[in-house]
Amino acid sequence: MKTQVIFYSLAILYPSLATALSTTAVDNAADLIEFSLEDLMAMDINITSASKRSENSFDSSTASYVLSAQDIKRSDATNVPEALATIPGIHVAKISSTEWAIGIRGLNGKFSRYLQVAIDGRSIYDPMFGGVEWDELNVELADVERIEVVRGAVGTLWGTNTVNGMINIITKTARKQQNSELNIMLANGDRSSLNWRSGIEINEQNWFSVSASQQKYPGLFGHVTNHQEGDPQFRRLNLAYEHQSDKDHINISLFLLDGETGRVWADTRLPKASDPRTLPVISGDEDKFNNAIQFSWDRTISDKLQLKTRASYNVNQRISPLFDWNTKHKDLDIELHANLGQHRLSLGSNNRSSDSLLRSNNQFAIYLTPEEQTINVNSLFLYDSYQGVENWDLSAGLRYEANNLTDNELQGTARALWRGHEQHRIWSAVSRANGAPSRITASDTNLDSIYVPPSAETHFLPHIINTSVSSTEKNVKVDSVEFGYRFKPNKTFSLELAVYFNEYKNTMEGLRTIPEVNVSTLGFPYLSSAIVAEYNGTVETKGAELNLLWMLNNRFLIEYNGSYNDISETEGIVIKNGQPRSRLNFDRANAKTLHTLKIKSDLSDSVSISSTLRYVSSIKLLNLPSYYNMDFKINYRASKHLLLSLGARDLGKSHIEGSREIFTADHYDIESQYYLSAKMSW
Amino acid sequence: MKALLFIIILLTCLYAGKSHARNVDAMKAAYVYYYSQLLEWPDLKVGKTIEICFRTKEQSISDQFFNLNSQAKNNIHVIEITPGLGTEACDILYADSLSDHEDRPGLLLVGESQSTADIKFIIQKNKLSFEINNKKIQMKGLRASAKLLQLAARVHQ
Repeated sequence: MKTQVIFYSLAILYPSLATALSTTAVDNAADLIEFSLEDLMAMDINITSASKRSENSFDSSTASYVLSAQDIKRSDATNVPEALATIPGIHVAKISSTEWAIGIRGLNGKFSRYLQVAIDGRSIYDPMFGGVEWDELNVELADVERIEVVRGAVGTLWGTNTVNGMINIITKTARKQQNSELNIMLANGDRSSLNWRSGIEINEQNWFSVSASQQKYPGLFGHVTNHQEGDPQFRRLNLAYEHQSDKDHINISLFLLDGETGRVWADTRLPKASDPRTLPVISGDEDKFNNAIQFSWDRTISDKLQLKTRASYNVNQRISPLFDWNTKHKDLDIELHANLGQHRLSLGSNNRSSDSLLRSNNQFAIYLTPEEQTINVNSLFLYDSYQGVENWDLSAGLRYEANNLTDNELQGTARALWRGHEQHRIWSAVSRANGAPSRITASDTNLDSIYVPPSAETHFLPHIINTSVSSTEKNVKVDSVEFGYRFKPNKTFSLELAVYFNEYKNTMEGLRTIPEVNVSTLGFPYLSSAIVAEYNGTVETKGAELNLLWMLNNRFLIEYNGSYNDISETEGIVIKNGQPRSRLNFDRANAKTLHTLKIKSDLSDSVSISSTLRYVSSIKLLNLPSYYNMDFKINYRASKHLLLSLGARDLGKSHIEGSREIFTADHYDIESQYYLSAKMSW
Repeated sequence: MKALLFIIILLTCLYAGKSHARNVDAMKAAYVYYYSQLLEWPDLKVGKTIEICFRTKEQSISDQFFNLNSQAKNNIHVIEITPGLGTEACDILYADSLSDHEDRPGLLLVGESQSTADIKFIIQKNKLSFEINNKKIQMKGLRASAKLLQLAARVHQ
């Protein structure tokens, strides 16, 4: 009897289970042509996959944007930061020839901990100082398949420091690089780059590709000192292997970079020169190495279940006469994605171990105790998207993160998208995200003083600020509310609007004494003050982002992006212990408005042009004025194998876009560039 | 008893293996490949590689055409038409919008809903099918095989 019950139960249940978890092939055209056309015509099709891309952007409950390889080819960008400047809501500020401050929704800075950046899902955020070393990106622009940007607090899916947004740079797999290409660029100021790429098909399921490049460009000139940085040079080598079978998709990538830069730093000891305009700059020619190996394996267990794993090892070395700064990152990510009825579930574990070492000499006065430390960040997340309510997509997620340097944290989000009309979408989200402090600010750091270069604000005197810290930095927590609207009446026009309100807690504030004029032992004047940093500040931001896209016809396209970001004013004079103090909030580098107008046009079958006009409003915290500039590019298809381009960047008055939060010796003027490039393919 | 259980399991596996809806973008790329094989090309093309060109903003379709390119053993070569690149070398062109491309002899235009398409995709009862404008194809010096004409949902003469 018992046997019979078991048997009949199995007989009834097994077909359902087999159907639910039936093994199916991953569809690709090369496999489908193994069937006859008659067989293909007899098969049902999955219509929702037809507009997968449009669904991702139009039907997303986040403020997201994808820059495709085609967009990048048509743009006037010559590197990844320049390509990011064309994306709505991103503020890209070039600080020096090798440094950028890139931010989303304000709070920008070279050492910002509010933006997470990844290459193929591997984080390249620097936990030592915060921010990203953009010149160490061991990916050439021509290697980029697409750049996915999500604006807003999406820490639930992407982990810590995804407070204002996430940038994921997806590189081309080996299969996509089967053509051979040679790219040469020459520009004014002795700037040049050379890139060669090629690939081979090993067999029907395996591919290999290689990409090698070299670039060099001149260092920029300081605005006050006219002191030129050393000329940077970089060499990159990328090797990629790809395997695609019915159930498995494997990618192995090796990224190698070595280069030299000549950054200029501020000598924080008292200036020795008698002329206060002569800044105490120190140049440390720096050798850089950035090598990474990454392995990813996607396994389709069934048409309802997919397993994704990713492991990587990344070693960075920076060697200069002023310091040795080395980091090693080990990442392991495991994710399961399942379709269960109306639910799309994602469950995952992300683990990162970052070992960093900083040794400096007494000219570069920053010391860490201990010199070497490992930061372990381990997290678990669960995310569910539910489509069981007609015309609604509802999603929610939670991430628990343990960080050995700070507190353990919970991040969460709840989102809703209404799709009741085929031309309109409305979405909203509430989220909590977390920004972990850098090792520099969270550890026992001996940073005695900060040097502020002479400027109109300091009456052209150098300003030495003696620093101390009253508490250890904590995680910044942000609570965010967002609303979005999309209108797409046809394929030629689209409008997208996003509005947000953010509150950040535990931001870094300082109470500074009123600066006094002192005279150095060598007889020249300077300003001095003292600041005590605390981590209990609160900042509120609110803003809006607008994107308009209009294709007049298939040969002419106009795109406008505008963003407005307002930060609460918390600065001012306060009285502490009977003495006036200036309250400063260090997380307020914000350009209130950004406007970009892009025009792309095919003038004929062989000639196309693109142009971008950009406006960035002033940045009060850094005393930087607003500026306009323009980029322009014309492409000429000389033959099937040869594409010639003539371009210009930063046309307009020379201007300053940004500066480092600390160690700034001078600001750098961004001048116009002109270039000629040739791309040969075969 | 065990034998009966084994037969039931075998049958359910076979049943489960049949249920699968195909990716429509992969199907379109596969159909375009078959058009290259089931049309008769001018004598010039006998024994030569057939150039399949595409221009689309849909990443999923673009990926599928690139995937088709991996079939090096077949007599096809797939090219993405980027702005500024003409279609002189193309034998077949699939594009989101065909109206801005030259309609010339020897070039087969494949599209979704355009009147200019020589072969137009349609979806009927959850299956991908197509209509052929045979008159236009013949005027271009091309000839659709009897098999292709027979499989089409509609043939315009």
